[in-house]
Amino acid sequence: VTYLPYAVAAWLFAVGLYGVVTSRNLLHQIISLSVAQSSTYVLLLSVGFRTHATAPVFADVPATRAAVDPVVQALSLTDVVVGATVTALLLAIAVQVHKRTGSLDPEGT
Amino acid sequence: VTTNLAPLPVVVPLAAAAVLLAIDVLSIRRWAPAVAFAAAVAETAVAVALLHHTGSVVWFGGWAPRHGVAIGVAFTIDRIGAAGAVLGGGVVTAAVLATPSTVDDAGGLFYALLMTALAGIAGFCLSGDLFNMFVFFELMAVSAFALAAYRTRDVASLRAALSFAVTNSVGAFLVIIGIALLYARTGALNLAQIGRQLTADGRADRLVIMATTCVVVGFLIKAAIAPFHLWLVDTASSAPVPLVMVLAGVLDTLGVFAVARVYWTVLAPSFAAHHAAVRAILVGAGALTAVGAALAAVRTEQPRRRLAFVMISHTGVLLVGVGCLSAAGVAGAAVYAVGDGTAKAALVAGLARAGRAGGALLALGGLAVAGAPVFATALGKAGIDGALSSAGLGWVPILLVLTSALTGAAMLDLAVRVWRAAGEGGVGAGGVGAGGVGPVVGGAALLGGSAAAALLGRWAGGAAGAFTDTAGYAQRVLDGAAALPARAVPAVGFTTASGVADAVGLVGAVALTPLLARGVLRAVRRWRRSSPGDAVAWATVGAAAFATGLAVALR
Repeated sequence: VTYLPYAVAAWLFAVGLYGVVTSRNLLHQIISLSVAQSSTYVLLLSVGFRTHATAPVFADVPATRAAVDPVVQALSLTDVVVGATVTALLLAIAVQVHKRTGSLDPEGT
Repeated sequence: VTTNLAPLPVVVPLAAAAVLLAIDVLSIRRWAPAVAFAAAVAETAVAVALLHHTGSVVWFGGWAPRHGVAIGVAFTIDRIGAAGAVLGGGVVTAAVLATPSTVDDAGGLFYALLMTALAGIAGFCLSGDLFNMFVFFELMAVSAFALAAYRTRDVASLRAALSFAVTNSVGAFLVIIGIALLYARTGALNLAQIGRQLTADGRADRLVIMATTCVVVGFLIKAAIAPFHLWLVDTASSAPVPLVMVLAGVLDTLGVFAVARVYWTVLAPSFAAHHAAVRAILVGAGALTAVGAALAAVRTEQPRRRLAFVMISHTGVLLVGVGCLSAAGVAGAAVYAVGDGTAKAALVAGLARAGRAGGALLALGGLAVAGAPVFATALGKAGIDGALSSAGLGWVPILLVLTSALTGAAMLDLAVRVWRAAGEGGVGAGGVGAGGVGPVVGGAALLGGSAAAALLGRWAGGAAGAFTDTAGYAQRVLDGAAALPARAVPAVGFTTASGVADAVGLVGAVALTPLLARGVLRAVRRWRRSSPGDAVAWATVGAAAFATGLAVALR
């Protein structure tokens, strides 16, 4: 077992949250949120990872061949979809805020 | 045991959302309210029908478990889950009624978002799979974010929507991190399967503590329990009325419901030896939220912001009930959730309507949150009080009495203000909208629901017995066992002590109201809007505190 992927996930989550908390710009804040979310992708994929295993596609390899866990890949995909939806919505709101106030400061005036 | 009805509470609102989008394209917008109303009523009716199919487990695509191993995805129908779907349908129906007169320019899109939120609510209540719970929660959350930002000309509501979406997304990340950790340990996503694997594994070690913290804190952020509540204060004071009704009526409640569901299907055996410690943490968080937010409510001038604090405070009461970690606590919390959720949604509707009708809704809703025994809030609180005494926390009900008195007075004070303004021919207290007849009809129906829920005492006892039967749930889901006779749990009822507590709270609320009208206690005239950064910083602090508490308790 290597702990590196888990350390990477923890780091991404921490810096993402730090960015959200300290941000002075809405776009920066939204991207920071995406960074924090990418930690969940790393975590999910590393949970299902096996060394020397193939992708979970058995079209041209023997079905007995070791493969990584396809379930976490499906979860990651769903997670990506949710994340993309939220990011798109947040960016749309940020555009509206900029249109009304001419500023992207999260604190407002 | 299976039923063909199970998917319908999700399918009906989703289909209606598609129709509503077509309505926008075809420019026949006047049909939108009728379509949304019909769909919400239909969802409610199907959910009521599901109450007669409790014990059913529906495996989609026929992927039933083999040899006790679940690979497929299931809806598990139990009484409390089905009741959540009924409550969601009822509150969304009232929100649809309130929409035409409170939201300018509400086309098919607005109603479609209400419908996708309802589909998420129903799916969340019925899901027997942890990951699907997450997905359905996100469906309702994203719909709610978009509804919160619907009035794009109002910068305050846009900023509130940002805070709402950012904070709740952090909550969602925590939930999915917790799910990933539980999957890493158990290889399962089905609630019953995770629970059984964890029990067989027998370790309540750091990984389980970490996963529990992530899932519970993630859901408590969505429930707006202090210190995770900042987003709700801003959202409830600026978002469209129908969304605030749904937030007050069900969305916050569902965060606490999720904690209860995950605890009783997954975590209960692992934490069996640490019940007292976990109970102290949950009841402590709930009681702090209840009293703190109630104090904030009476000190806040602006009506909708005050109502937001009442919402937060009473979600805290709900967490106290669930935090007792007993069937009696779940039973009391279930009655309270229905009685209080409908009353709070009615209060939102009352604030949307100037004049005597709005004042009357606020007065009745205020009496309901104060614990007038006509409404189910009183019965639910009696159940929670009883569970607290059984858990050796007999002093906590005193805090709940204080909470009822303060939040009741806060709302009755608003009722008096609106009523007086109507007498003087004014448009009402600051922040109160003109409104039409829709909010009044919806609000009155909700208050009727709150009163009717007072008949649920016996029902809730049996429902909580089944809900808290971890082994029975797993046998039903994984081994295809027929619904087992639920353990006998006494019906939720009044005792002398709870009756006295309730009377003190009610009298206190009425007595405090004139003091509030004279401006006693009122201090916070201007509330600094919190930025998403503030809300996330507080959420981080709260999550760290929770993890520390759990780690210390389980060392």
